[in-house]
Amino acid sequence: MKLPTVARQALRIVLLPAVMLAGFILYGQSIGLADVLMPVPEDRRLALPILISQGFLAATLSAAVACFPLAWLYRRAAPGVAVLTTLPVLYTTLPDVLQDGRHPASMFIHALELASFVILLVGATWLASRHLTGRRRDSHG
Amino acid sequence: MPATTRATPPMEVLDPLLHQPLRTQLAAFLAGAGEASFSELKQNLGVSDGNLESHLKKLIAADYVSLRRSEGPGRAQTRYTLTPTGLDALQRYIQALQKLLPLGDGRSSGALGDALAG
Repeated sequence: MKLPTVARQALRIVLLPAVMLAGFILYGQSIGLADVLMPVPEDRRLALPILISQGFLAATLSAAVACFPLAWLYRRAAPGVAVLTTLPVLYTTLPDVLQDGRHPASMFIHALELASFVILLVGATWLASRHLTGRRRDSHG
Repeated sequence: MPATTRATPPMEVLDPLLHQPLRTQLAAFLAGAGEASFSELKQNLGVSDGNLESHLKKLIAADYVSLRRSEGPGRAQTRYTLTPTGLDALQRYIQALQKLLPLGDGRSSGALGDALAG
């Protein structure tokens, strides 16, 4: 069954808060999974690089899981929706990260973690939406 | 003649890393317990995995918390401990709070001071 365009647009807008919440939960789960896949070692010299890698891994996992569903649901608007999806995470963590001025290592690790989350999610969603819209164009003509 | 103004010492800046409810609880719990596993921390603080993970990482990055893996008959468990740096920071944080709300030095007065002083 194919929905009319207006109904499809309305459904996308109605689903937006749920998508944003799902993105927030997904990121939390990815952080937990990254710690399981790449545990922090006891040696402090190794702990910092691993913490940085964990953030990058969590961002990669989130992007890998979310990019195609977002692109499938929102098509060309998907990168914009990906930006919106990052907002709850940024809203809850950014003030805390910016406060850590006295702890540059902690601030750096978390700033990098957030930056990689935003860049990878938006970038991967943009690529996925390009891939899907391109394939759709090909199948039509 | 201008009135003499007594110079007040600048207010103590609270450690931003410990000035967050969950991280204060984490540091205080570890200071009391000595060391704890992830599940013990989660159970006692009543937080989600992701949230606890995120705050623990901040404390580890600042060298406030260290970890060690305990090898046992079952699965290896990670135990978290407050480092001397973390303990020192927690003590300074408590002292800073005490300076902001002086108790028991004669300067505190009123219902709040009485209530807090016990």
